[in-house]
Amino acid sequence: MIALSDYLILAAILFSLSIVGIFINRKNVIILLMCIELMLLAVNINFIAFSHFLGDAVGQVFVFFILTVAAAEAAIGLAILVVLFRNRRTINVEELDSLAG
Amino acid sequence: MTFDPMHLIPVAPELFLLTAACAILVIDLFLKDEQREATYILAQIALIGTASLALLVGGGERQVVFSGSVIRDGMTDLLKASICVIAFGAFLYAKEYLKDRNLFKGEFYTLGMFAVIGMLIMVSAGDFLTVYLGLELLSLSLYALVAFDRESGRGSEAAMKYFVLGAIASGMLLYGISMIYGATGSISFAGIAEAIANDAVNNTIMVFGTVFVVIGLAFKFGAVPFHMWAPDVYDGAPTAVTMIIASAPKIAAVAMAIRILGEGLGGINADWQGMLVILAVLSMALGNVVAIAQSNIKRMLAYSTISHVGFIFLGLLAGSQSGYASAMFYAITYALTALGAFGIIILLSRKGFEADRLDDFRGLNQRSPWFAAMMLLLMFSMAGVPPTVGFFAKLFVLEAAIRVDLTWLAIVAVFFSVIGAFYYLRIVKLMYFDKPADSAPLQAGMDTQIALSVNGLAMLALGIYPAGLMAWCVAAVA
Amino acid sequence: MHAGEQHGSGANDLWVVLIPLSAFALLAWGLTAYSLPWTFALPWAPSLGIELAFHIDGLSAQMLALITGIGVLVFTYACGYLAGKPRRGRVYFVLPLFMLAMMGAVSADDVILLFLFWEMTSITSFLLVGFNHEDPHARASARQALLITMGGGLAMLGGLLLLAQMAGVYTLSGIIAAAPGFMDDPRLHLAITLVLLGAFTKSAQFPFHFWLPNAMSAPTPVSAYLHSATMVKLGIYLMLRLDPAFNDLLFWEVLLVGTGAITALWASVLALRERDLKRILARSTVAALGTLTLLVGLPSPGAGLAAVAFLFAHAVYKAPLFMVAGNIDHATGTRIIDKVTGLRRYMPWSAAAALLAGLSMAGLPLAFGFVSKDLMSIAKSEADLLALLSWTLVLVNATAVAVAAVAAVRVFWGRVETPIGPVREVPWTMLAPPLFIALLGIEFEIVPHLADPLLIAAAGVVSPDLRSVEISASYDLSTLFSALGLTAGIGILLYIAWDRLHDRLHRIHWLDRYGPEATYDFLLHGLARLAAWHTRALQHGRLSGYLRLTLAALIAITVFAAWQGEGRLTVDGYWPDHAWAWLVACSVMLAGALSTLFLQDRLALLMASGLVGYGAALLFLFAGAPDLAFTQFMVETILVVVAAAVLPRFGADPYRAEGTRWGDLALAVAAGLGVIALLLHLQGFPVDSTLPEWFAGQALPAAQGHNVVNVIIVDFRALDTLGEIAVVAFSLLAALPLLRRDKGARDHAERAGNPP
Repeated sequence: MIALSDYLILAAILFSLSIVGIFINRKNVIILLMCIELMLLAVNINFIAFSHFLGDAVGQVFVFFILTVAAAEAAIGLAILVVLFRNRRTINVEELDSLAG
Repeated sequence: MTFDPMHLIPVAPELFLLTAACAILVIDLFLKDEQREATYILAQIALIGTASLALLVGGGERQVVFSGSVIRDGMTDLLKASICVIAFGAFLYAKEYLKDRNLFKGEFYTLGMFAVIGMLIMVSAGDFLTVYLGLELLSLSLYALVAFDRESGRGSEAAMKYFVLGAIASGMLLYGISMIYGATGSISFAGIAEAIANDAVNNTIMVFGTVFVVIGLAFKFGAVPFHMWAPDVYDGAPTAVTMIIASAPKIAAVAMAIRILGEGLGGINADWQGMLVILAVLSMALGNVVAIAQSNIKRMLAYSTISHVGFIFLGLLAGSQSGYASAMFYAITYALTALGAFGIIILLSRKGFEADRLDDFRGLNQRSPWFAAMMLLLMFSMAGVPPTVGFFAKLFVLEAAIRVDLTWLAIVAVFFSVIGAFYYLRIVKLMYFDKPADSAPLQAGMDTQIALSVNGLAMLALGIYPAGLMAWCVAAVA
Repeated sequence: MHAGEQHGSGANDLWVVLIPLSAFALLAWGLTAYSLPWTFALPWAPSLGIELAFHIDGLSAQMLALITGIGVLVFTYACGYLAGKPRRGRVYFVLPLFMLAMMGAVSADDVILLFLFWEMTSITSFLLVGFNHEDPHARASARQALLITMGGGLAMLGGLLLLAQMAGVYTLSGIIAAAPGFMDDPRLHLAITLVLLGAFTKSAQFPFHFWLPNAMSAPTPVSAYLHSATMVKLGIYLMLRLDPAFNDLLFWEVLLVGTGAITALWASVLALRERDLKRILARSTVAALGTLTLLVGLPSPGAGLAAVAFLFAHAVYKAPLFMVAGNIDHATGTRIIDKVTGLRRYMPWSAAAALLAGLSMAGLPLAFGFVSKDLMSIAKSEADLLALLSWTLVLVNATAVAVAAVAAVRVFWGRVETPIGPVREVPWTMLAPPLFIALLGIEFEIVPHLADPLLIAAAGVVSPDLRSVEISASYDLSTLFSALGLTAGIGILLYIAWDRLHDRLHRIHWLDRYGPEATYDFLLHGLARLAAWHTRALQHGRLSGYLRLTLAALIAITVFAAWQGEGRLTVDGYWPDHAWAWLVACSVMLAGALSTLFLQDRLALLMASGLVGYGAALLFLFAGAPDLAFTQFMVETILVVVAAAVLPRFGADPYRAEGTRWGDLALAVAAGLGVIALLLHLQGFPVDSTLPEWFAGQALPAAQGHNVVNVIIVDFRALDTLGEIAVVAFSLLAALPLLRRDKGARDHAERAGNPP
């Protein structure tokens, strides 16, 4: 039997990793997007774990929605990235500072 | 489980707008560029239809349908109608601007309508899942709209920043939701409130869930210290899009906050009140102080939004009926004011020229005394100068804070609104006391001129007679 | 302005005088026809209990009489003063608005209404002071006056709201009536301080006294009206109005008497430092306002009457003096007292008006001023105050005598040393008003009963115990000589020594660097500097910086919450059933997650992040959610494929790894440890197994489905599914136009010389 806390700790580690990724990555927007996906995965694991241990299916349903919405979100993110690249010829985070003040 | 068609009636506005948006999307495909006006007119008709439908199916008892995931009550009636009206105004003001910049495309209106659907869903959501879907629909539309001018490097940079920070905010919100779900075993606000009332929750997990949810909310509102996206996005997005971001979503966000914090987590008010106090004070302080240094009016309005969010939080954190009513009143009137202010910026812009510097307002009184007066009313309303409606919005919020014995917070708010008056009045000074740098006549269609006049005069009218809207807000949360 | 320049009498504009005249006539008629008080109320914002409530009693009536009466004369004067000036229409528009706001402020009973009119006077005065807006100094002073009075007004609103909260009503009359009930409320002192902040800023009390002299860049009719007769009296009015409620409160007394005394004394000293006639008058107005505040603070009933009388007298003598200063400015182009002298030859009528008003100001017998000074001495003896306070007042009054002498004697009767060119008397529209008001002051002395009813009624409001006081000049020789003789003596000495004193005082420069005005400037500029610093340091446009700050805030808030919450840090796990699968899933995920952080090649990166998704799917599979696992597999695959299709568009990787940033690493580790600690808190989480398995029970009978999750998605949560489909469909919709290259854009790019 796996304890609920094991799931939660796994989720927490994933969540922290995503935050670590956001922190140490200064340049690549794509890594940023992936870290965000990681964060959502952590959330999903939380939901599944709770759902399993509560004996309540709503949590699983929520995960379905998160998965699909995250896919949609990623699609838009990539689209924006393409537009950005077309305009700037770069996807380097550090070079995106024309808006400041 | 039998399906009751009557359950569809409370969601009729959303369904109608969704159908209309899809229909318009298809119709738009068959239109030539010269006929694009038809898309615009259809979109406006759809918005008016949605607003009337919201009022038509509204009134009467609170209805909870679809296993508690959708609510229709006084609040949804009022907020849905106001969101549609404000979106209507935004579409109207945006038209000339888009035409001048070769952006007058069907997608702008379909994306805008999807954003409105998202807001409507947020307003009527009865559980976290529905709220999340509405929020994502709104956010995704806004990301795309910010990057709408594909030729603009600033636009796509703003969209990227907005997207990254917005997605992180969604992640935080979801992480919090998952914890609250774990602590209470429910994702519906009513179920969560019940679990809290029965004391059947894990406290630690609940507190952390609440922390993450509040941070997610603060992100979406643009409250300090989660505000960094706001100035850059306001600045980089096309003004027509900034206008949409700055106005109606604030109303939807207030609805979301009232549902989550009030209806769901109302029982643990003490746990989130302290956080909102910090966010409110920081927002009012930073927003008002930093706005002084801005020379770009879009950035200035971004910081001003941040400070207004602080005031909205002041109403929310009171955690009382009157507090929620005042936050709602504040959000509605603020959205109307922001709409008008951006409308004036668009009015001053023309082909190949963005009137986004403060200096572009120099001597407006000599170019057009009438619209200078309208801008004066709008700025006075933002500064909270009586007898404009902004004053009453601030008053109701302060009143709510004082009623729950947060007098010190009310005094802090008053102090920062004095600083705030400073930069709004600078625009008034530029308009009335300086010589125009640019003497080109203002060019705008009669419809824009009439709408802007109505918008400006509404500041005064609502200020002289605030009782109607206020009573509606009070009734909505009762 | 060129010396001697004339623009005519401005008689064409005289129609504006009809506005205050009709108001005055209406008031006079009302006072004779109906007895006070008049009340009137209309619901306004019933949900907050706010109504349009007006309450006009003796005090309000006196203020109304002042506002409209002096209004008639000021409007007349303004026609002459502004004749031929561009944009004078704006003054004719704003001045009546200001008058209306003043009338509203002194008759409002509802506190919100009072605040509304109060701020309206601030805003209209901003527009009036900034009339000469080409002059940056005028603009700065207009802004200063506005910020200070408006800020004070907002503080007052806070105080009034608190008072209303304590009293349970929103009317001033209600609050005063309920005052004995909340004398022990802990919030009372705060409320009083806030209300007095409003009154002190409006009436230019120390340390907010500096805006009034600076506001002298306003046109003279504005100064005469706003800065001597009406607006600056609004604060005094509010204190008088609330005095019956707090008269016995030591806090109230000390604050009022202390501030009043300091203001009066300090302003008198500062008056001696000025050379500009208008600024000298402004300083002495501040001194008079300080005296009034002091009088209101004195607890004896006689002080109330004295305050009311002095308030009236001050308006009647100061307004004409301002007008005369304006006449001199108008005729000679300067207001510096060293440059103008012996003007009586050219401006005999102005000289006469100045002399009459000056007499009244100096408090000499025969003038109305005497009556009020007399009452002041009575009040002083009744209150049995410290001798020091009396001496303060004597000094302040002596300065007033000296100021009167400067305005009335020095500039008109002094020796002519250097002729300043052709000087002509100003037109009649600028002469009649000061002469008339100054004569009125004398008139009230000869026939004092003219003013009696108003003063008695007003004083009755302030001190309800006061039954009847003989106001008419009952010449008590001892009072006359002891108080007035001394005052006049010192005053004349001050006048004679004016130039020498000025030189001495002028040398004290260090005062300016630390005074309240310097503080105001410092704060104003500091604010701008702070804002600029923030913009440079924090809103620098770099996403990585924003993220760092945001996450730091996240950690801070979480730690704050963790610190407040309670929990235990124990690890007591079980060994899972399908331990091998679980371990595989976990290691796949962790390996994927870790490699995303360190891989540089984009495609490899993509694969690594895909690994995490597949690991999660594996986990779902063994956690009893196979359908979910398949969805996860699918989504992950699609994502990897789509991303792989898009990635090559960005060209080659232009960068390589760089040195480790320890600060970021530390923050990241802190974040990770924080979250793990939080999760360890959750160890003891009890599973609520009693939750009804309603969905499971309903799935088959209600929806004919075996898979509970499927049933929930398409049946119980059908609407959300519709929403979800909308989100997905729409995201493609949103992405497509962004990705699509339309023809116009390509043409545009080609024209610009860039390959598309």
